[in-house]
Amino acid sequence: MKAFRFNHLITLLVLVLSLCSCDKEDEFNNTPSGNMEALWQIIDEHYCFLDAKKINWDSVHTAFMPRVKNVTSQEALLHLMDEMLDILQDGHVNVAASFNIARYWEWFEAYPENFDEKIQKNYLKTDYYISGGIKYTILDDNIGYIYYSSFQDQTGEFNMDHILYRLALCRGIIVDIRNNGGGELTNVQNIAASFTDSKVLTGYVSHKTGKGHSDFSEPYAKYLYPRSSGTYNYYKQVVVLTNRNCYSAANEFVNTMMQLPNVTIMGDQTGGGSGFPFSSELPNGWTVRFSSSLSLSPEMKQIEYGINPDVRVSMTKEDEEKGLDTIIETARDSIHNHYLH
Amino acid sequence: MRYNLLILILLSVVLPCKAIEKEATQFNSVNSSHLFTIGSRSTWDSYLSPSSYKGTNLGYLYDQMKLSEAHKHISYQSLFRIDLSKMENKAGNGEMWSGFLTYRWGAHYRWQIDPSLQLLGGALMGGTIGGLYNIRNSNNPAQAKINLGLSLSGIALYKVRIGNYPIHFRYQINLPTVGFTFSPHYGQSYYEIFTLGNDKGVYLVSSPHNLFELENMFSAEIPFNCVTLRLGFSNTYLRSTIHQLETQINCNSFFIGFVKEGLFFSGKKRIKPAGYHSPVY
Repeated sequence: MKAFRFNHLITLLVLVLSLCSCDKEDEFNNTPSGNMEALWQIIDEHYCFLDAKKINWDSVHTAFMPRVKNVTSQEALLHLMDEMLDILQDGHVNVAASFNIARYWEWFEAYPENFDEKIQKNYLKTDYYISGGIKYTILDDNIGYIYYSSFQDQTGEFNMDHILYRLALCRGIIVDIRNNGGGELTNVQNIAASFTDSKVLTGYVSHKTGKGHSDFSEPYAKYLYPRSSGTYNYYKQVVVLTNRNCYSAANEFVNTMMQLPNVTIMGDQTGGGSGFPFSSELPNGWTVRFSSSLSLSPEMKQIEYGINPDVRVSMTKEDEEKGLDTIIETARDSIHNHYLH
Repeated sequence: MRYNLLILILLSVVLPCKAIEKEATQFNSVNSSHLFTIGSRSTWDSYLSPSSYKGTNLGYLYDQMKLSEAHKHISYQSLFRIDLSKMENKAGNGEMWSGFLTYRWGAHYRWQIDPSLQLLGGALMGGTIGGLYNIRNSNNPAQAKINLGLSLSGIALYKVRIGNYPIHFRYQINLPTVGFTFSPHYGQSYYEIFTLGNDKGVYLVSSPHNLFELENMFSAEIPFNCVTLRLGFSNTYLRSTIHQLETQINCNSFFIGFVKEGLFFSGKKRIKPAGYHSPVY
């Protein structure tokens, strides 16, 4: 009887353990077609702009999958993936292999740069200050000049305190973010909060709630909050300089700053990139990056393709030959003119 | 008046002592195990990657059981567990780490089926907190796992003598039933939840329909001259589908450690049984 019971216990144990020891098997194989199918499915189920950009992703599958059988090398496979992803026209979409990164950079490569680092040196000179990721100086006509090249560079309230303490008596401040390709959104808040004294609606976020192309959450309002009292803020004229290479977090910074009454956006249209990128991977281990949730303007409009400036200015050949930056010069004039009128 | 007060004070001192004496006739020892686990873990979490990751799991498990002093058929159990894993994808070029901390406490009712076999059934409160960390991911590098609630629990204790060794076999199954869990929405970032504050629907009620968990532990206790070894096998399994995000985590581990059984005295209620000599008390 004892042995009988014991046998029953062992049988039960084996049954329970065998039920729960099954591991999840990957859906696609590590073959060219498996990797291509996996990439197509990641975009199909997770990419947030398929409807907004009116892309028929099923027809992309029909067009590209038959071509996989002609793929004979890793490079050819990455090239085919690159071609497929270019349809999305999104700088946040990449496939990264160990030998190359499939990318879409037309949002800035197809346009004038409107920025020259050598000419910028004529303004920064050599005695500029650096705080966090920001270079700053006071120009000859008592205008503060801030240059921030990447939102990856940590810049906190403490840095802004130092910068604005030094620029407090300037007639206005030029915030130059040209060629800033983005980074961390927390830096957007840290910097923009120095230029407002009240809570401001800056837009909405909406994330995907499921695999369907139109499965989105209710837009959730985003606000810019003024910094705590006791810190240095600046409420005089501010001009933000932009070019096509302002992307992602830089695009969001422009969207945020243009909601403030004392701020003018000047230069070229931004590059866009309002999607919040997530990462995934293919069966062969290549990393896939894609836009997973989207950011909208306060009017609930898409800013994925960039934001138009308040004043459109391009750098001219004549000014460049003289060592002048047309956009900086126009911004200086704009600040001075503000006090004349 | 003063005489009555004195009697009252004496009674208030003597009566509790009598009660303690009565209780003190039965001492229930505490059985505790310190176990070290090693095994394998496989993880698939669609928020982080469509690929599954597999690797090694190392951990520590503390298991304590104590009979109730109020009811001879009731026993209490505490389970504490730490697990750390390093895993990689099939292609061998992606790495994922996981860390979990589990604590459960509860009570079992005991049925003595025959002198060799006891069956225990009860419930445990507690849960698991921890997370997965995928090194390659940028804005979705981690997924927090917080599952707290009530588990059904069953234990079978079987003792058998093999040669000179009285061996105690133990099998335990814990099945979490209802509780609370955390999950971001399908494409929602942690930035949106914690920085922008959009946490609507991320804390939710869990039950086996959306989160199925199972813990199995099978062990044998073998006494030697001065130590009782406990060795066995443990499996923890989790499968969830929340906000269309799917997770499957399976961990199989072997464990080895030692068992201690003894009386613990502490605090004002400590009782020193007859014949017990303490180096301090």
